[in-house]
Amino acid sequence: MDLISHLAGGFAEIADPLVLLFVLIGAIVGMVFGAAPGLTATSAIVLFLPVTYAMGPTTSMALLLGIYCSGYFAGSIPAILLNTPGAPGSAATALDGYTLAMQGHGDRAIITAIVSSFVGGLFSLTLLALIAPSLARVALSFTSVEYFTFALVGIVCVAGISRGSMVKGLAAAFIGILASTVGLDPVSGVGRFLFGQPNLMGGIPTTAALIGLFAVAQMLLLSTKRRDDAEVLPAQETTPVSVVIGDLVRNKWLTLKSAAIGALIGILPGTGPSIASWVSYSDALRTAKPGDKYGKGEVKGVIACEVSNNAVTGGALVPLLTLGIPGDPVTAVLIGALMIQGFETGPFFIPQNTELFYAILLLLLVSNILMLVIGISGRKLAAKILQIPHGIMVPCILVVAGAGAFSIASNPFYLKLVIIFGLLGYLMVRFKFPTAPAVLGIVLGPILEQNLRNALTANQMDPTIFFTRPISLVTLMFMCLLLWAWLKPTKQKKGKATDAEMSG
Amino acid sequence: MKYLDILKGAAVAAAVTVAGLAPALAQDYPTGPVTIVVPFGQGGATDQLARMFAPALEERLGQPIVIVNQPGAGGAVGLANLAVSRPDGYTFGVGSDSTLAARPIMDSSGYTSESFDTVARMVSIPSGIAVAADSPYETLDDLVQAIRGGENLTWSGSGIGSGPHLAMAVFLAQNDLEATYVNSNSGQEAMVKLLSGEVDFFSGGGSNYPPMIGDDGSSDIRVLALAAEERWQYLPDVPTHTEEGYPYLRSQWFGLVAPAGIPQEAIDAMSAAVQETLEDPAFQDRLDQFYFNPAYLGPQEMAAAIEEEAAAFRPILEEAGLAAD
Repeated sequence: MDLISHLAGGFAEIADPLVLLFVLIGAIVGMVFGAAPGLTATSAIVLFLPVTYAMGPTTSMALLLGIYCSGYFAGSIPAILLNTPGAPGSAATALDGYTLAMQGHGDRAIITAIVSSFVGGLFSLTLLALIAPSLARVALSFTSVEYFTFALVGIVCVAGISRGSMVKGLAAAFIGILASTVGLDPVSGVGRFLFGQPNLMGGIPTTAALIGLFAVAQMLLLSTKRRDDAEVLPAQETTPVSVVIGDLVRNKWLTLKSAAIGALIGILPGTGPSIASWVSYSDALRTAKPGDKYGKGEVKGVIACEVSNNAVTGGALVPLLTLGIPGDPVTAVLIGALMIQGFETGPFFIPQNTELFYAILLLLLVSNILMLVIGISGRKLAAKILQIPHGIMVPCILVVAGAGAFSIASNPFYLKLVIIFGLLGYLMVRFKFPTAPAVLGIVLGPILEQNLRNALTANQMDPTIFFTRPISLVTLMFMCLLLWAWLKPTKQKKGKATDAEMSG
Repeated sequence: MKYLDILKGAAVAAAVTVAGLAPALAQDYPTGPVTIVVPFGQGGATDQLARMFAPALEERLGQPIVIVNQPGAGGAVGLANLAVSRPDGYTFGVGSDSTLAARPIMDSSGYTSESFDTVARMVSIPSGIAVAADSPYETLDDLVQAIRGGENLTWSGSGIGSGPHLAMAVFLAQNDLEATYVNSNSGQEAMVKLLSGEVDFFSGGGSNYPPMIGDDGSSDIRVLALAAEERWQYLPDVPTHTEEGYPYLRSQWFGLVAPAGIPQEAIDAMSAAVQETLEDPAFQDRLDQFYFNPAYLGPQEMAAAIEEEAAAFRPILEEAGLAAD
């Protein structure tokens, strides 16, 4: 009953041609950025954030959520056609998708990716609608103790993102945490690492670090790279959408399971689509039936990855809107976008801005539908983005990045920060350190530090408080479980890496 | 409307560059656009206040007012950059009790109390103290007696060195009370801590409270007292500290400052424009929206008020190890 009136209120918010126009623009921008290798949904949102300063909250969310949904999907187009994931979250899709394309079934793989993304998006949206309002109420009973353990799980998850080298992932996260200690000490108010520069008092803004680490670093990398010609694919046969829907219906359990994995991983602070798609892909492998040809062109492989990486979207908004803790790098930017509009994310967000919350839900729905429509009708065109010469793309993006950096706080100082972080990001990518954990380190670092110190201050410096509060205890046990799950297989593969990982 | 503002801003920025090249200040100040630096992000109370003032000041000064948001470190970054900007009378900034009276005493602030010329105090909000609705403390006296009785209570406010933090710290020190401060990044975060039971009481400007109280008077919090001379118009049921037997006056306020050494005529013109704006009854209605009280003080009075507050804050900051040597 209440729900219906709220939904009606939400409808009223978004039933504005301008709002709908911006969802559409967002969906197209997301598609372009997602499809272009090196540009991700995250960089698109960062670059378009300054555009939203002058908009109302609903319009601004419309643009950003439009980018968010279709950007997460579009990375799979180059993954399938070029074996070059447009975004890290689509890396797993390339395994089966590209093989399908080589067999002439590229179109089928792309449509599967689109429809799977849509299903995943819808699933997580429903979850967000159902649990966020009640979780917000529960969240009001959380103290620094709980926030600290949540952020700790986040950092552990960050390490998990970086499959292959957990040590490098952790190292990147610590680089981020180190950067987050710059500025006025959040508990005592004393300046740290200021180097006599008053502009550093406010710390390093996440947005400046993001622009540097993602956009600038990637552009530097592109400008040093010679253009690879795409391998010649056989002529692709067109596949009707109905066939793909049949595939999904046949594999309904796989679809549902992948959606649940994606949404849950989205809810965990610090994790994103990359880990979601790998986890559900490996789970699909684990439960493979005889006759499945995973890795050799199996549609189910595409389904598992794509359902779960888009199911992250709704899930990641849960901790953002209820606790004010971002679920992935994109939602970290959304905090900033909402703050500029005068909204503080946290337990009060949903009760005080119910209309906006439901508008966000509906916008997600609209974005998902647009993603489906634009994706299916424009999939051939999207592949063309891959052919934009670097000589044009790199300078354009850098100019936009510079303007974005300045507009964070009308402070020219932040341009310098962006250049520094761009160089840092370039070095990190060159030496195969993932950059996403660094950004999450910057976001989660202060949450960890402040809540640890606050929890201890408020409890007479008694560390047992983390084990005596039930939610905190359960969270810590969950973290141990995650660590065990992640460290165990690595141990079996190569024993000598174990020591470094245990100490990390 | 907003898009127009941006276009206007761009045009004005270009005009400022040109104006900067023009020879010394003419007698009929102002001859060009005036910039007001808001050291907080868009959308916050300080920003809204500046944006409310801008059209009224434009009307009185006859020149466009450009708002520049430069957030960071609770207002200190924007003011540090203001301190080193050109004192030509065309750049002002919004300061507050904490950024002008406390921050200069503290370590690594990037400016001192001599960095600015005071122009006009604009508005104030009385400091208040609140507990959760299910708290055993019904009055300010209950709370004070509990602390005196040896109970170890915790409290929070919006950030160390912020107005609400200092207001409560000074009150506790004046009454020889000790309680544990748990830090928050904003008033809202501190409010969450109060409601979750993590802290026992909350210190914050009066504007924190009315939105928490329903139309029927029900609320999750109980405001114990406000540190004002008389009862506050927006919360007439809440007693003052004095009524409760603990005389104490403290408010969070905002005022205009400029880099030290600006022409006297610029100070006078701007200060007069602020005063006239605040006296306008239509403008007072708009202040109601944000629960601000008009609190004009002229340049000298404002400087005196800052000095007085700095004297109250200094021992607190020294004890907390925050004062510069």
